[in-house]
Amino acid sequence: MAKVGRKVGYAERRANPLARFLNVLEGKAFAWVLLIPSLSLVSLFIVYPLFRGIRLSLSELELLKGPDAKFIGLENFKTLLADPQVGNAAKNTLIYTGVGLVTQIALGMAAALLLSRESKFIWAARIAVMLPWFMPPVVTAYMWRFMLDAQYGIVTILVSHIGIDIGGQGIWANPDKALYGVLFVELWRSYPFFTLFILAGIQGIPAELRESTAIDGASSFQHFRYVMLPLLKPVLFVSTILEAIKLINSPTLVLLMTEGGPGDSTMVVPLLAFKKAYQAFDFGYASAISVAVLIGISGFAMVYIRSVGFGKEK
Amino acid sequence: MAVTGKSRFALSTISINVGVALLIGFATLPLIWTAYTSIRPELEIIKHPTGLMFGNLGFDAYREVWRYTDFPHLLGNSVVVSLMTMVMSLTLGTFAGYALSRANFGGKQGILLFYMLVRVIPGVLLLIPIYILMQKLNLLDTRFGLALAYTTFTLPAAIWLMKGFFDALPVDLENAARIDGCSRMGAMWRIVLPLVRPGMAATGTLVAIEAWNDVLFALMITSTNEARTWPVGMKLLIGEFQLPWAQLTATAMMSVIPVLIAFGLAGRKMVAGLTAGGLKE
Repeated sequence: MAKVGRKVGYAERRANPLARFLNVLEGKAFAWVLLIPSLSLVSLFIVYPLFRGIRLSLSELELLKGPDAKFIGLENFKTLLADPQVGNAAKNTLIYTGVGLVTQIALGMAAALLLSRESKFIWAARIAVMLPWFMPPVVTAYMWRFMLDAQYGIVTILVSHIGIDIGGQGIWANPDKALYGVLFVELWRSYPFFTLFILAGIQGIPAELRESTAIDGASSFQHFRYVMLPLLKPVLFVSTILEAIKLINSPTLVLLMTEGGPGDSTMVVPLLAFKKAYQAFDFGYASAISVAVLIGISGFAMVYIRSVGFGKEK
Repeated sequence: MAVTGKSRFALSTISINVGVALLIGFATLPLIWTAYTSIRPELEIIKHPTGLMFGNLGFDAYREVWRYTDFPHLLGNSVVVSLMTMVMSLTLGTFAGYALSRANFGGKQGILLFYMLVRVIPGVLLLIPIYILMQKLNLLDTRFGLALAYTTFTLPAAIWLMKGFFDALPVDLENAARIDGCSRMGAMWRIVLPLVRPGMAATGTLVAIEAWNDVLFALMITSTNEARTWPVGMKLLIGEFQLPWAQLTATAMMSVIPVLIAFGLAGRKMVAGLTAGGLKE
């Protein structure tokens, strides 16, 4: 871009002062003028709050006791490590993230393979399959709570006809099953994310590759296992890490479906932090829990990147 | 995938079609059932939960929600907040996306990475400081405050998407315009923006849907009907009154229809943009 010389047209020179000012800016300066508004907004509402949040995690601030934050060092984190509620929530978050990822990747991959063959109306099918991903979580949550209702839920009734008995108390009142109920709904709304990425990855693989492996006598499964899967590795890597972060971070679906109950059986870490802030107004402790989540995610990401060896092979 | 039919383990066309049909059913049947429930009489829903009777269907539940609750007002709030978010996020995202796509300067990779990383930060960690910040700025419980928060959180995605759409346009077009005497600003305004309009529509729709759907920040930042958006309203309605099923599903349908329309109009381009942006890194 810098190679092209600056030639200002007559019309431009006569234009308003703002345009004249912007025309003076070239190259780097022009880029920075365009970038500064977004950078400052993100700094104000994300970067500054991030540091403020970290500072809060080292302070005692309970709105019910008073508006002033008192610095207490790592006290909150000591409490946190000994808190059985946190331990329980961490266990649930691990299950939620692990089971969530495995089920979503499996269904997402199957759906992407099914949707990858080109035909006339395949785009309509692709859009329909993506729909749950764009649905408001509130609607998704209450819709499924209704359909899995112990008495009136159509899914509860239909699966009982094929011999799966959810039990008289239903899935939401059962401490052993409620988390898996939420995980099922999470699968419904989130697997299209993997389908989207994997499908794009498949479309980037040249079709001729299949022709040549077919000539070599490879079965479809062998082609998938030894040709497609390695080629899809980068896509799977990126989408897995993004979805893992979302599953660890977001309390939304659990908040809406069970609020952590019955008991604490579906309590996940971000929901615990949210409740400490929103219901107990214990801002210091809630921040400490969130910072612990952030540390956990960073650790997970580093181990994951190392173990996959991403970036080394290329 | 042209020759899948020939090999031994290949799936036949029929089984692929059945699989695709199952996927479509899995995605859409819950919504169809919700829509059907919303027009059934409450008594029917309780007496025959699985009944398919098309006798006395009607929009009574919609009328009741519309007349006797604040829901219409909350939907209005959501429309305003979503539109504000869309305009702000799209404007800033287009500027930044253009700069990151076209200009070469030190720190460009750093900025791109920065916009990736900010998405990793747990929303719950930011909630409290943002609440305190909004209080100081007198933006608590205002629609503009909510829109500012949503703009910030949708910006990284908007920037990445717009950068992708700009990357897809040849630079030669602008160079030609500039040789003909167009300024840098003029080249962007007159040549590039009209070409990238479909991408802007897709990005804007995505951003608006995010603002429309959010419940977490709205729950924290709003406290009265002044700025409260529909997801909060729906959560409170259900919590307080144990809504009858017909009204609950009617409320759900009313709030999901705008999403369906937007998705129907821009879905194809949105899906294309999302994968293109995600795959490049």
